[in-house]
Amino acid sequence: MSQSNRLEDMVREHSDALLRAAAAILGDPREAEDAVQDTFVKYLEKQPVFPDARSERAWLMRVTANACKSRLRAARRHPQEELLDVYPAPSDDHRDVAEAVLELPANQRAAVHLFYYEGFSTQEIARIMNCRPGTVRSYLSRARDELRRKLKGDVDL
Amino acid sequence: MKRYAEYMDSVEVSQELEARLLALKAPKARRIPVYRAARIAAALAVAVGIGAWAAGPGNDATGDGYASDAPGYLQDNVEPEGPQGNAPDMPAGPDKPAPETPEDLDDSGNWIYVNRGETEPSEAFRVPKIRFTNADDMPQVSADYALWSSDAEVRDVGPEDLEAIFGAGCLDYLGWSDEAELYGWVGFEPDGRASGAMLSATAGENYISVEILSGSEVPDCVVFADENGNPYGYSWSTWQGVELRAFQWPGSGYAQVSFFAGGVGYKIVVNGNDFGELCARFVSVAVKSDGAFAELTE
Repeated sequence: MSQSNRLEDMVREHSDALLRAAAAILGDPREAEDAVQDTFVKYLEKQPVFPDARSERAWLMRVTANACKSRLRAARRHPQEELLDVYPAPSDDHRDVAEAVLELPANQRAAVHLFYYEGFSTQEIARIMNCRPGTVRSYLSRARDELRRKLKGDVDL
Repeated sequence: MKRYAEYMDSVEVSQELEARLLALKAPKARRIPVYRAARIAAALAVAVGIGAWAAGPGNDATGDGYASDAPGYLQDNVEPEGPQGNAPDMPAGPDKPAPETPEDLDDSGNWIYVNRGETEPSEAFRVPKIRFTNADDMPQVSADYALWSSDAEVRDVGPEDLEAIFGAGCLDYLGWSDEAELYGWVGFEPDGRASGAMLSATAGENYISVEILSGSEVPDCVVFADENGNPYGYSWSTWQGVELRAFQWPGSGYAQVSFFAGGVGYKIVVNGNDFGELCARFVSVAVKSDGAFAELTE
């Protein structure tokens, strides 16, 4: 398979998921797009080979998470656009939940998204976020407490 | 989180972004000097699998990513194995010539030879023999700590920083080549002093993280106690007069080594099949660096 065919397959299969993860972490749709682009540049550079689809997904997520971290550590960021402005929520309930998650600290947002939306285990998330599994559990625990508080318990965790 | 999932499902790559992604080209391959290519081949022959780079977040005393519920550890010693043989030492650190003979090195007997590659003697290295104890069911107390103050300037760590700290050739010796996805930060206090650093690397299923603190031992985020409530039931080893305290976290596959050498504290956490050797190699370069981290510039 040629490199361009392989890239096309990867983009079509993973780009939505990577964009969602980057958007959740960064809260800025334009920065999220750049992070996804960086991920695929890294993919083209490294040309990694994966034993299975899950490893492939986890690798891409890890690269995306790292790209997001670099952007988060840049000098005080202010989103150029808000995620919910570019991708409006279909209802007030959806907006409330999305806003509550996006208001969490970046690490907690990332953990919540990877755990609840992507379905990764805490061990896998630890590899993706380059931290310890205990730290991931701590992020999730704090995030759940905060989400329950903000949403007055109306969140299915 | 059904509503969150439903919302996120609506976030999709636009046609413009997709076109941009599909138009990407692989970066041009960097020309590797012949010397470095040979060293990379040698490192690969030794087959050191280095773990992940963990870019722990948080750069203040209350930041996330430092506190952890790491398991405690027990008293069972795990002795690493290794063949014996005559071999030259590992690459020298900055401005430190390599010892002439193995006899010039640590005479405590706390070392092993690692010789996994070719049969050439040059493929063998002498590394610390680190004793790891297993921890289980021990009470523990978690605490946060910071590697730099909130006033520190923090920047990314690159391979050139690692070579400035640990000496030219250290990346190949440690197996932290380009394929290892190095990642990390270093913090500099307002007076320009390098305060601390967090480094990590991922390679396949392996993970390694390193924390460095100038002038002090790196604190533990979890304090362990034995059955009598006495703290720090670690296993101790020595390497060139430096005390190493190490333990293995049960069930998670993580191992940790902490030590203070040349006025700099180090803590390394490794997860992978070769954790003993990975720790040992890092210990040997860190001890040999003789506190060069503190001289790192912003």
